[in-house]
Amino acid sequence: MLDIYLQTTWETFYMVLVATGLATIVGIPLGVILIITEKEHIYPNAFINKMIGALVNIFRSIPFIILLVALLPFTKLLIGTRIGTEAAMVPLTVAAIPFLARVIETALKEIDKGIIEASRAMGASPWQIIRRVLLPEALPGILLGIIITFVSLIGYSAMAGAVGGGGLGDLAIREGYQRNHQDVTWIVVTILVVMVQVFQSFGDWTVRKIREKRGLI
Amino acid sequence: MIEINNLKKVYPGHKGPMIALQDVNLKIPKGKIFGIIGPSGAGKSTLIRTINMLERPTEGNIFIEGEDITQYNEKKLRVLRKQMGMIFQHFNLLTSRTVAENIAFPMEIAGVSKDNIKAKIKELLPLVGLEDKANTYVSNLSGGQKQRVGIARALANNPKILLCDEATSALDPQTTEAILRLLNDINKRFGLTIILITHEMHVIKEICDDVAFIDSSRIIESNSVTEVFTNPQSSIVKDFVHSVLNGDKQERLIEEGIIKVPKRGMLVRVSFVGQSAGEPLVSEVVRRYNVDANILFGNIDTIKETPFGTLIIELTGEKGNIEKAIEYIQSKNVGIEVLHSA
Repeated sequence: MLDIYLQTTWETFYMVLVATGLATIVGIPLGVILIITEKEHIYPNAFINKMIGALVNIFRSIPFIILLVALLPFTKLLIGTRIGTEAAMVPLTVAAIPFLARVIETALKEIDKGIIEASRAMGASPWQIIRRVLLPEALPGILLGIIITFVSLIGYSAMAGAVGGGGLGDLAIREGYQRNHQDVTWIVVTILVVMVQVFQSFGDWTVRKIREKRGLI
Repeated sequence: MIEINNLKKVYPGHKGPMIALQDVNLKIPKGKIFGIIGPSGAGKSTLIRTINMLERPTEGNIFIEGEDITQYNEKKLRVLRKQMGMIFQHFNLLTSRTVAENIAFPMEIAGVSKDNIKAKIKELLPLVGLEDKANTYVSNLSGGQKQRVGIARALANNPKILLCDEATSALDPQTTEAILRLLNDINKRFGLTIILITHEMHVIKEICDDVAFIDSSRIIESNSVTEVFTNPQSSIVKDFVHSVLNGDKQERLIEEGIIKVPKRGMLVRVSFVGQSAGEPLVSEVVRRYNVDANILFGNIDTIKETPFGTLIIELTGEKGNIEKAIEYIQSKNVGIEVLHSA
């Protein structure tokens, strides 16, 4: 029985990690585009800003359970199957991207406008400002955003279990709910709580270390 | 040399266009410290930002060494900006970097090699007095130290022009003195042209060679600092000058009757600069024109390194003689202002 808990915990961790990773790769550029295309930023473009903003909002307003079902054909096309851990990563990633984009946008918004102006005054190009100013300056905020996404996806991944996505959620539904083994449900819930605590604390600790090093706290 | 011609900047505001600058004409000589002073909202911040085109003017031209930079595209502007340094009221340093890394930043952008960056940092740290702070993150520094990092960073690419945007306005008086001394030192040592904006006449008096006064988007007076101090034209400039020269005190002394307004004769303020401060002007006037001179108030100060004196004198005697005496004082390149005439 221990094996099954270890295995499903690993599955949950694995799919959430990959989904967060993929979402970060797409979400950071989106967040950056959202901020730099704003008025009076380094690359103002109202059209791109509005369009990406709208797209992000649309995806963020779709409830995850609906997104999960709606993406099934797309998942099948991409992965070759609709069930299993790999398949569950697709809706998780899609749900995380717009969320992360907004979180990153917020983190980048915190940067003092004066620092950006100073960089422009030194002759920095928009790309140099993104790479050497915006991302390093917002690093603590970006890391916090990634951790929040990771933690939220742990919850979402349980829902993915409902459509045979594997992981702890799947176990809780099949064993705990459908076979009425309440102890399984409680153990799963406990594991989830511990997972969330561990990762959130690790994230907070890392961010605090960075801020301490920079003399910000 | 920087030449600004008919500069105009208009912002499209919510309640119609807002004019930030108009009819601005300035000549900024090479190697000098040029101050731009005015009350907040006058347009000085916009003006200094047009010199590196952080703000694009609506109309007019800016020539740097004969080249009209208002015609430059973004790419050419980036090249230009690498040859100009800028420091800020709130320092605008990167909190993600240490002192040394902040100084390295403009050099990284300009593509300077790692070895050369290291060498330049080693040269700049002692210049600004931060040898022991190389690896400190900037949030751990005091305001004065932060501005020193800002100055070192601004000098990293060996600029010919340094723009200072209210560089001492966030600092206490003592730190302000030290930073002004450092700027003066840099100006002399590297022959750097420094353009600074400020709302404190004290800054102009301490280090500037030339000054332009700006009010409500226009330049109202532009001259050498000594000329402005001895011979201010407009009332705003007079107010600024008096504010740093105990002028208010003199006026109060007259108002309160401590300096008595003469029943006959004239009350005049005489301002001396440099050489003329040493000449025995008063006794000469007394001898030549047969007038009596009674010194009521005296003050000596320096403008940059030039001695500058003010006297309030009561001149009595025949009216014609007093007028001749005043004309004579004027002919000696000494500022004179009639405060009261009986």
